[in-house]
Amino acid sequence: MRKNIGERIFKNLTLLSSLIIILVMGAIFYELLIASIPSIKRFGWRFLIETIWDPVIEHFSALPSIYGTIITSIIALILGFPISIGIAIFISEICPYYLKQPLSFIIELLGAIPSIIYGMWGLFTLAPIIQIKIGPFLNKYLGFLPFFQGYPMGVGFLTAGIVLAIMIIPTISSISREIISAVPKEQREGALALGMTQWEMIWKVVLGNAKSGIFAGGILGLGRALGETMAVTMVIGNSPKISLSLFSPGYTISSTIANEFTEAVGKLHLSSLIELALILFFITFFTIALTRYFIIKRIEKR
Amino acid sequence: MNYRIRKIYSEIMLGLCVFSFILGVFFLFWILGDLFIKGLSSLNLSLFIELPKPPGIPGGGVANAIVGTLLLSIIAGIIGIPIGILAGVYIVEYGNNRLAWWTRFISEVLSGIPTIIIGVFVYILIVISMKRFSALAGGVALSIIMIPIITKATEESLKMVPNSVREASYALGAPKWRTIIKVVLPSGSSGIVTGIMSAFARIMGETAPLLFTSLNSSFWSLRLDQPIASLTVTIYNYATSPYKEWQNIAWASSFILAMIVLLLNILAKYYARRKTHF
Amino acid sequence: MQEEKHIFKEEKNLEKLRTENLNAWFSSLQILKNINISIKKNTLTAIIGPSGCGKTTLLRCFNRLHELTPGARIEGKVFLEDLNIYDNNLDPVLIRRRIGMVFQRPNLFYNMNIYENVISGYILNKRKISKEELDNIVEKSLRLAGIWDEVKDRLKNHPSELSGGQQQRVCIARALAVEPEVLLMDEPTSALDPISTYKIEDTIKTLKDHVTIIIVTHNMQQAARISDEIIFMYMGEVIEVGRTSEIFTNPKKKLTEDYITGRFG
Ligand SMILES: Nc1ncnc2c1ncn2[C@@H]1O[C@H](COP(=O)(O)OP(=O)(O)OP(=O)(O)O)[C@@H](O)[C@H]1O
Ligand SMILES: [Mg+2]
Repeated sequence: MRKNIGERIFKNLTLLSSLIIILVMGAIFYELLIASIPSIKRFGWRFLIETIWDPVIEHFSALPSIYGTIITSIIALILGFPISIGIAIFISEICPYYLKQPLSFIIELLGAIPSIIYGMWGLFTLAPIIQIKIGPFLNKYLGFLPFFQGYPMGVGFLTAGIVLAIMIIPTISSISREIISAVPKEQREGALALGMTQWEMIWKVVLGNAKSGIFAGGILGLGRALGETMAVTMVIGNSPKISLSLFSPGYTISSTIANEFTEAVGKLHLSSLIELALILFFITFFTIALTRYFIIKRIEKR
Repeated sequence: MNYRIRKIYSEIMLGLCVFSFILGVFFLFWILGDLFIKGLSSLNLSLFIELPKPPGIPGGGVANAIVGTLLLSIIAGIIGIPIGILAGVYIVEYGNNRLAWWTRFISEVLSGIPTIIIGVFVYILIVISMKRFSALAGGVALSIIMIPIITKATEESLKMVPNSVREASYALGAPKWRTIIKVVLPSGSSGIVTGIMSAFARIMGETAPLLFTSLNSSFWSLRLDQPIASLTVTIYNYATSPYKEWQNIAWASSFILAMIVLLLNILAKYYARRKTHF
Repeated sequence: MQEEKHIFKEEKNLEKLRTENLNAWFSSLQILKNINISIKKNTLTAIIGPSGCGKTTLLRCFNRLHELTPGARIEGKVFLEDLNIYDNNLDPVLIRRRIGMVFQRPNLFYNMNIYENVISGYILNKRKISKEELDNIVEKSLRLAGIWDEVKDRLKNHPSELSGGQQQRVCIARALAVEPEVLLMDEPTSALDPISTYKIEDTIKTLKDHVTIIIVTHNMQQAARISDEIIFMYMGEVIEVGRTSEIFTNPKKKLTEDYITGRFG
């Protein structure tokens, strides 16, 4: 009987820990929702579509932040995704076997650097370069596009997007590398035996087989970009503006929260910030949940 | 198409892949190089032993922030390690059911939720009810980040432990829970320890969840119910200040932080490589 | 038959293990069908039969390991002396302390050294025993398992340093250290070379004076060399039970004869 008590206690402790995880997730949603109510009551759906975020007149709406979040994440994906895939292909298909581990580790280090340090680098090193070199260059040659019009100030959507691009590389490339490595050897050999060049083999057979996994990796990278806070807060310029110009300063959801939360005096201001958090929670929850769901299902199928 | 053209095309595309890798490494070295150059040049002893000073006054350090980061990590560890490990045990050892599936799924999703949201959550949960920012709130926020990492590491290492080992223990008359504690967990310990070290590396570099939970402080403090300084928040405040000497301190602190985090990561990697016998 | 049984009863009259209408399933697949056997105290019984006929499953029903597999289920009774081990109020843990098991492959605990492995039954059950006593148990068990001389100088070493055969004998020592009344062995020598096999057979033969042993084997010569009794199984059923000499010289059933003469299986 004594033994049974030990068993019961231990099992219940593990059960409790599991429940805590689920409970925390539920509580995050619940608390954010409750604390957003004042803002939801005050602004309703207009919160999502209006463009004014002004603490002085106590009028808040999410569109500027949502816009900035989406724009910076798109830039990050456009720049970061191909590079990540390239890295994944290089490590799994091109580099010699004995280098695979150390080279993956180097790329993983990129993911280990704290985001505040990306922020430091972005603010003090990258932003000046954007302002003085890259910005004017883009403006000169691609200035006919609305994205590259205006005067580059260093901080802004483009800078934030570039920093995010670097930050999501390790996420996407490590998942892609795993998926790519899982493509069976016979398929590769079969393709080469058919007279394909190495690239054709990689493109048609390897990537063809791995594409849903790589897609999932891309979405997880996107999830990271959508939620990244510090690095973006330091380089985006922090101003609730919607502008097509990538040189323009802006806001993202997370940078708005980081920037204004401790200074929010009015109840409505705080509530609106929490509603922003709730929106970000929804966006990331569903992107991650969906991809994780697919990844788990895939693994279970094997 | 002509084979030679296809071949050349292939070489070009492979070249681009190599280039991507070089680009990735280039950025890594650029960022680390920057950190070394700007961080090392501002590094000095007073950083480690002095408290912050107002701008304009020379000297000043981040000693309290270093201690604060350690304290926050310890709080997070005390909460996060047991919960993380036990949840992992539940998933692998007791979970032939939907709850285990959901735990694993929710834990994976939780690990991807932006940490600023966790900061907001803990603010509502703890800071508002305690009516003040506190080290405890910061530690709790960090523990929420830590738990899914450790759960995942535990889950993966316990899955590697062959079933025959569990059966050997049962056959000796050991109850399940003692089998888990005495045989299964120790057999998977290297993976779990690796996970714990990565988790610490991760939370020590976190800023966003601390901004409005543990806030910041310019004083010595070890009290759990008071705001406390942390390296990351200090870096953020100093970096975004207009004062040159503060920005230098931010660089030096970033260097210290990066060294701690990279060291932990390399240690974790080394530990993971240690021979496991399965 | 009647007579012989009688003589036998006088020598070793006590029944140690008995099954009553034992059935076992994996999910919906019935593996054991109505098994009724009786095993006498301090004898060595070999279970033989073609691969997949349910030998391992039967063995695992004797110490309630079968039910640990997800989806596995049993019906019927198994008596250890006069205790039904499937009694609802009985903790299987208590049964497993009286019935030891050696598995097909060595499965030492790799988080413990050789010494700790041998006394792991005590560690795992938190039985407090003095250091000297433990030392004695380790030496005695390792000697019984016929491996003392090979490992006495490296008791603190990691078990992976031992060969497969040595590990298997340490597994036997580990099972013996808790002094079980019954020892179940599932093809303990199938992964081993002939020399290790002979050593383990020697060990087993000396053991049967104190322990009731049930061994699964595919090796007919081995069964003939070491066992007192034979249980022949086929497709989840017990086809024939008898003294070893009897079964090998004069099997009652055609199926048994076919199997032991190697015509199938
Ligand atoms: N975990 C399991 N799940 C489902 N079926 C199983 C499982 N283990 C064994 N079986 C099935 O149960 C039957 C009996 O298996 P068992 O291991 O008892 O055979 P065996 O007589 O020991 O064979 P062998 O001589 O090959 O070891 C086989 O048909 C096998 O396929
Ligand atoms: Mg078997």
